[in-house]
Amino acid sequence: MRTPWTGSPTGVTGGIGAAVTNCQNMMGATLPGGKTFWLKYALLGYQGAVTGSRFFLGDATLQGTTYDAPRYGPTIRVVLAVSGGASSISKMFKFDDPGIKFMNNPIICTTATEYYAAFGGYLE
Amino acid sequence: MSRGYTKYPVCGSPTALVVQPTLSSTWAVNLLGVTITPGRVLFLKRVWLSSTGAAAHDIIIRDGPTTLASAATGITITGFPAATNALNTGYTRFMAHVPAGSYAEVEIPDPGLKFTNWCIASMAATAAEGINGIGGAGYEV
Repeated sequence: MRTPWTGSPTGVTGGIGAAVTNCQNMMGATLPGGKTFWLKYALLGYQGAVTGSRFFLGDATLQGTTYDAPRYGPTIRVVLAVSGGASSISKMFKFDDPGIKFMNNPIICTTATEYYAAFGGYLE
Repeated sequence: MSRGYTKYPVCGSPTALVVQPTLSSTWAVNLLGVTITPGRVLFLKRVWLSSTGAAAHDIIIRDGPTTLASAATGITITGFPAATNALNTGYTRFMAHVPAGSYAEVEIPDPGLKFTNWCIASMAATAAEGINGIGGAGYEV
């Protein structure tokens, strides 16, 4: 049975540091035990000039703000690139059914220091 | 596939256009024109924005720590960015960029984007020319 993710918040914002080792939980909470999360979309935005930035979405077993370079490990699920040139940008990434699977902690890492990111999906 | 939950449309008035030329970094509008029903959460499915001005705008959509007191279409917020205002920290949901003199629509795939208390919109920076129209729609669970 699929139910909408009801963790809080479902969006994360702001300066998380200029290191991919400093990550945030994109859903704001750990997955309930025994549940799988299917990510259906990521709405990403930058304010100001954006020459090109990448977001790394991963499935980490540890809950926290610092991870050991998850982009190099098997935890990475998808890399999303955003480029806005001289102006701000907001961009929607949609994932067809069933979505991208996460079984631990869905995390986001980026080289940007300030961004906007909202996510949505289902628990099953 | 069984979804196991019931969707209730948000059918307050208005659920659509809120004309707010004074939208700014310290003044937000209630995107739906109604409060979220106590005991339920809102899943936002669509936002539309129009600006006939000559400048592009960055619109910030956010939730809040407490229930909105009324369905008033305007609310004062302390400011932007998040570092200066606890209301913003952890409650900003996304940014929508609206090019100058254009219409922009953000369609959010199922299940939508969750809001617990508010669904308000403000501008990243106060500008002489504001957003001419803004609205949203979604459902409650």
